[in-house]
Amino acid sequence: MNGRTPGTTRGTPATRVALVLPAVLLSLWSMACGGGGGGGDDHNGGVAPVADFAPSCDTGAGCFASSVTLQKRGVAGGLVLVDAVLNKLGTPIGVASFVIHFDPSAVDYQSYATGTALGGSPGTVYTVTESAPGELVVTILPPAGGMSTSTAKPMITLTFAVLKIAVTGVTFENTDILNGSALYDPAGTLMPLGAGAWSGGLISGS
Amino acid sequence: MARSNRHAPRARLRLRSREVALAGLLVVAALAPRAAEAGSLSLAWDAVAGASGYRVYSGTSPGVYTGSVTLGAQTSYTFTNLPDCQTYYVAVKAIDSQGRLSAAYSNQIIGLPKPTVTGITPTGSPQGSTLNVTITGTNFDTQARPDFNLLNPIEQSIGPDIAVNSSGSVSCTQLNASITLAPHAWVNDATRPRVVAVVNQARQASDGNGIAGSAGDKFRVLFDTRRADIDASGRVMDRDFLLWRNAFGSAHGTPPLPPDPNYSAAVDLNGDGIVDGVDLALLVSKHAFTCDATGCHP
Repeated sequence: MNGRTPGTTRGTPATRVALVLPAVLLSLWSMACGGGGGGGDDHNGGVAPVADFAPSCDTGAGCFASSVTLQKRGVAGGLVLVDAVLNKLGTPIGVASFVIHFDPSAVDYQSYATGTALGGSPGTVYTVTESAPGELVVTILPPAGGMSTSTAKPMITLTFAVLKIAVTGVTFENTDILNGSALYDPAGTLMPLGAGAWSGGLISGS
Repeated sequence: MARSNRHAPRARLRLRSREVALAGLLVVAALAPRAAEAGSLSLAWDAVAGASGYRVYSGTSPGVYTGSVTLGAQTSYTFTNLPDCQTYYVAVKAIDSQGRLSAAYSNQIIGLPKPTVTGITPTGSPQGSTLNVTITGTNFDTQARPDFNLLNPIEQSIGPDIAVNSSGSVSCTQLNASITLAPHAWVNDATRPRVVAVVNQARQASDGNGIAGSAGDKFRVLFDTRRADIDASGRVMDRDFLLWRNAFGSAHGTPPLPPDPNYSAAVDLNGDGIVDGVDLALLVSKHAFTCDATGCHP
């Protein structure tokens, strides 16, 4: 038996299974202090665009009940951190998986940080793969028996960089179906959230 | 000790008297020659009551013995430094306490020195595949068969995972075979080599007879990427991971241990008999891949 611990494996180059939050925070701090900021397309006459995010479903709205939504966690220069927030309360989740689409000419996926809704790390396996330009596949596998949350919490935090001045949608694809964006109970039964329960938002560069 | 035929020692294979009349070669793994050395040939025989010693005769033609060695009361002997691919004929006589030889020889033992394996082509294939392989080496007899399950960690619990459909010696140095790798076949690598052996005279590997083992990683069972799509849904994600999680830590278990109800060969992607992090690593490596009959692709 190989004693490799769940959550520490490495996949293909496009797949990342690791804790990256410290690096992201350091990067944000560095940019906020005037460092960094290089790289990426610059379509603004030499000035890097400033990122922002507007959720399609606010946390106080009715659409937030029994949902998975993207919410803004923070911005720093051209980077925006987006939480995938789980608001399916008191229900053991065996695995959460979702497919996110965005315009790769406007937004570039950077990294992820583990959230707390499904146990955090270690014990929970996070696998994020940029399967195609503009497509991000996320699978979050809590410990055996699944995890539940009593309050809305982020499952994962995704960091995007805006590449140009534009507004682009970030959406969940193929919701509530196998191999799409869906939640499963610990036995593997799909738990549909219903129409409109998976909502993304808009990333803007200005 | 009389001079009658009934006192002639009966050469045999160790522990397998049924094969006395066959070639009778006994190749002992511990006496395996180095590659640069000539081969070895071992034999054993039944003790004869009243015998104080034995004389072992050998030659390269049937019934024509050109050499002999006189032994004490021991009932086994190994010839060493024999030229490869030369058939030897061996028989034994008993010696009584007065130094008299039995009139008759034992049954004649016929065979080649211990086979050795030096290579196999191709050097690997995915789980679940059927293919033709060519094995090269020395001392392959006409009934030689390959064996891929020596030192296989799952053989004791799951059983052989590479089946030999047919085989045939092309020459003393080449053996062709058709083999089928089980879908759950153990995925080995350089650090966990799969020994390719050749067994002469169709003997069973468990006897330790007629076996040539190659210490190196001669043949690799490769991961069949389709297996990452555990639920056969066409893409590696969500439920595939959950199925791994629900079987994590389970092992096939070696009889007489009771079977582990959580174990699933479908989730044991590398086929080593346990569902562990190695299987997860294989799963993660194919995450988000789409799968069809040819495999799982980015």
